[in-house]
Amino acid sequence: MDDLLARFLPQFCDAAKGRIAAAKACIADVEAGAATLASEFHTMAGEAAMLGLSDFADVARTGETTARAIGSPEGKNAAVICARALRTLSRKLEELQKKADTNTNVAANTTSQESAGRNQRVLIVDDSPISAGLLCDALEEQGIEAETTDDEKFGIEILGKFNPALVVTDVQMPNLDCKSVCDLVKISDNGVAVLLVSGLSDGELKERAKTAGAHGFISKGGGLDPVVDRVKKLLAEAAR
Amino acid sequence: MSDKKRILLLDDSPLVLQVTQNALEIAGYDVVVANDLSEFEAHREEVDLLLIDVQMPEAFGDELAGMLRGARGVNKPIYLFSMLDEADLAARAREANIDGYISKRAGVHALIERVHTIFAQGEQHG
Repeated sequence: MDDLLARFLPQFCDAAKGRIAAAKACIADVEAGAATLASEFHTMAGEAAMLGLSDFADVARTGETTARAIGSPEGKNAAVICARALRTLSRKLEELQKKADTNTNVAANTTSQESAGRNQRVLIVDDSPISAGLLCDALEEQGIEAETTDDEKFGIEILGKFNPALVVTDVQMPNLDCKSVCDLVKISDNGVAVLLVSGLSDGELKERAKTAGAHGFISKGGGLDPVVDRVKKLLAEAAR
Repeated sequence: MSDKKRILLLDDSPLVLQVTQNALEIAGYDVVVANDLSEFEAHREEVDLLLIDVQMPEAFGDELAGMLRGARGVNKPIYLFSMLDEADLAARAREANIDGYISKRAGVHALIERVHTIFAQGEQHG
């Protein structure tokens, strides 16, 4: 699960529980409670959207739109629609609460096996499938599990799925720059290192690494062996 | 003083404030949050970018933004930050004579990208 979501899911669930309760109290007299109903749906939609809970946000937005139509010809069945939206949100909230509770248990019981597995995994981000493939092959020959992705597909989801200890990224890509890669990695999990690899000069790479907040950089100019050695060092540091 | 760009975020949802602050700080910014107008006013002059929610109990954010740009003469970047649909947000931003809007619907990662772009464009224009 996205680190941001995992971190804030318990709070979201608590807040949503209160808002759903407040909204339900308005259903008995929707005309009088229309503004509160709309406000609670609106806030829930915003909070859910910020955490990427798009299904929840969509239902909340529908509820808000309906609540705002109360009192107008379009609001004829508003009470029924809003009540249905609240039931749907309550069900979704139950599922989210289970995830939040599961995350708490998993975090409390983190196993060294999971950490050990993650410690040898490298995700390579490069818009050139050939470059990415060559590095991937070189790492796997050294017993390091590696996966490649390009600048269009890279994101929180693939980080969550692959759970690498290290991200090795090209610097200049058409759809993503290295700073965005570093930002996304940090948001996903603050413990994952990022190594910049590029044909740029050491001076330029150093500057890029500093600006992006990367853990290190290495030029491609020396061939694959120095890159592989650098990856091994960073993986060893991550394992400590 | 830190070289980091400072952002002030006004929103009536404490959770939105926390999530956004957390994400923007990880992305390298200093973030000040305000849950109401008095907190907002206390920090307004210290920052490089103002992000303002629209539908709040005390005021509509676009009206506040328009007042800041107009009557108060605030010329730093001001953006609406809201769940309203984009056509509505665009119209409100135009009406308020501010720099634009950012939709909450795209999530926090899109917000970060947009903030990076805002500051990059600001640097280009000097």
